[in-house]
Amino acid sequence: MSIFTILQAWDKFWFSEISPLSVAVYRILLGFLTIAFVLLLIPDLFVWFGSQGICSNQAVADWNNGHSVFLNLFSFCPDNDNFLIAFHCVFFLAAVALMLGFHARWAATICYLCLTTLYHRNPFIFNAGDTYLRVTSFWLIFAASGNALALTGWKQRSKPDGNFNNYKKVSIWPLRLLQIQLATVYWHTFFCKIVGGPWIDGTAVFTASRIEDLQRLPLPFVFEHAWTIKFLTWSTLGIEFALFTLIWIKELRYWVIAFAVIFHLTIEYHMNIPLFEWLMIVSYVLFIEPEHLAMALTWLRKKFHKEKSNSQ
Amino acid sequence: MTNKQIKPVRKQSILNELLSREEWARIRKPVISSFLILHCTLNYCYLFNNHPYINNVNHFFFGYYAFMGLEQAWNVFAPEPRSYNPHLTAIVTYQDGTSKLWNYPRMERLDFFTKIPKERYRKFFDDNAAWLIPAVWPDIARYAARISYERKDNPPKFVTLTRFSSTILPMEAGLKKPNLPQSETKVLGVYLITDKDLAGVKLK
Repeated sequence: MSIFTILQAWDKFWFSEISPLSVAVYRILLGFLTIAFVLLLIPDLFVWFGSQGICSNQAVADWNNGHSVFLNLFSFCPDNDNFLIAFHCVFFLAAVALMLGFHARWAATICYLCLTTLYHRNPFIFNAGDTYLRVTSFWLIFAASGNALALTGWKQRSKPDGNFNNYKKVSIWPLRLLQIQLATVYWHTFFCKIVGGPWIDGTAVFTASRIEDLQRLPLPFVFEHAWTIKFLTWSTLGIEFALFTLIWIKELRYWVIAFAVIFHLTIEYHMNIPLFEWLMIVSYVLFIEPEHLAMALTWLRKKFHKEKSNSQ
Repeated sequence: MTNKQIKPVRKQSILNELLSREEWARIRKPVISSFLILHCTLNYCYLFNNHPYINNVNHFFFGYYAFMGLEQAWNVFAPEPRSYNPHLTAIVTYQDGTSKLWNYPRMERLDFFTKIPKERYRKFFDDNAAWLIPAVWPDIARYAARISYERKDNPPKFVTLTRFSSTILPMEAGLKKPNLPQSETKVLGVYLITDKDLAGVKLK
């Protein structure tokens, strides 16, 4: 293999062009989940971030060994509840704008700033799903997600034909970053699990199912037999391995995604970790070929028009 | 398929100010490649920090990485799931010697819909505060005192934080058996409450 071949492969992987449809659909779904994130925070907003809340700026600074130079918009107006309300309103509007594709790049930037600010203000309440939302909103800033299915940016793109196939192609590297981010999640979790212990001997799912504060709905039978528990434990490892390896192979991709969706829906049914499973599921859209997405959207539009004309 | 509706692509406005189209076309790939290599390397080093050299890289770039909020870890239930069930309580003692028990919303006691927005209590208390982050214990005590402050002539004077927990039995011993009650007890601290801590509280 020559250096030229490597450079060519690098160029093809990162700098070829693709329809913006995948990243646009992802933007819509991520925007929807960001709205849910904002709304779910409202009931306890002042508990977590307020001036009289449960976690002071000082405690966070102590935990960070005194470091306080972080991207945190609250630094401009610390312990000000009116600013917190205004901040949350802006965050909500940015999330709506992201979903609708209204100045999508700016909307993604504001969402990222807001998510990072909240994280730096009180990092102790965020789970892995929130981390994923924050990091992917950063990558989304670089994506041309507003070049399809968006309210603004008409001048920057061609109008799609009847089959959503005529969008002007865009650089692929932001999509690649988002895909690699998703694969990284499974890569890291897989290697953290296979170091030994309960994931190898097949008992990890039993322990996880006994964590009382995580339980949502019961799964009868499954957690009462050693063989089902072992099967689920090792299946988890298998699916997570496939999600950073086999998902890159075109012929296997949709099978991997189908199993992964079932896997995450099972967790969603049994465990109360809001948004995390949905964030993972919507991210699989990044691996769907734009032509297939176009076909699905065309089918949806036809069905919608048909139902509309029937009702009239 | 027709391309007749395609219009020329407008350049990015910020780049337009800084560079001509030709200049940007010349440096685009090296600039983007550097960005990609930097961030992919930082992610790798942060996630697989298992060598002194990798640690040096993390140390050097941590300011940027942490500032941007890009730090990440995906060790969900790994290397092993949490093997205990905890909860934390605060006993608020008032000036007249009476006391009141304060509990945060506990997931296992909430219904299906209520526990969705309240999940952050689980993360804050059961995953983090009860075990890993003593820095927030005084804040929790002050918060419990503030929301338990009901009469001006009888303010809270101190708060005792206590953690209750139980170990999850291993599968061989725990299959088809209920979880143990959360009866292991540890007093995390007793915190004095000052007038300053109660300032600004609106009494009911």
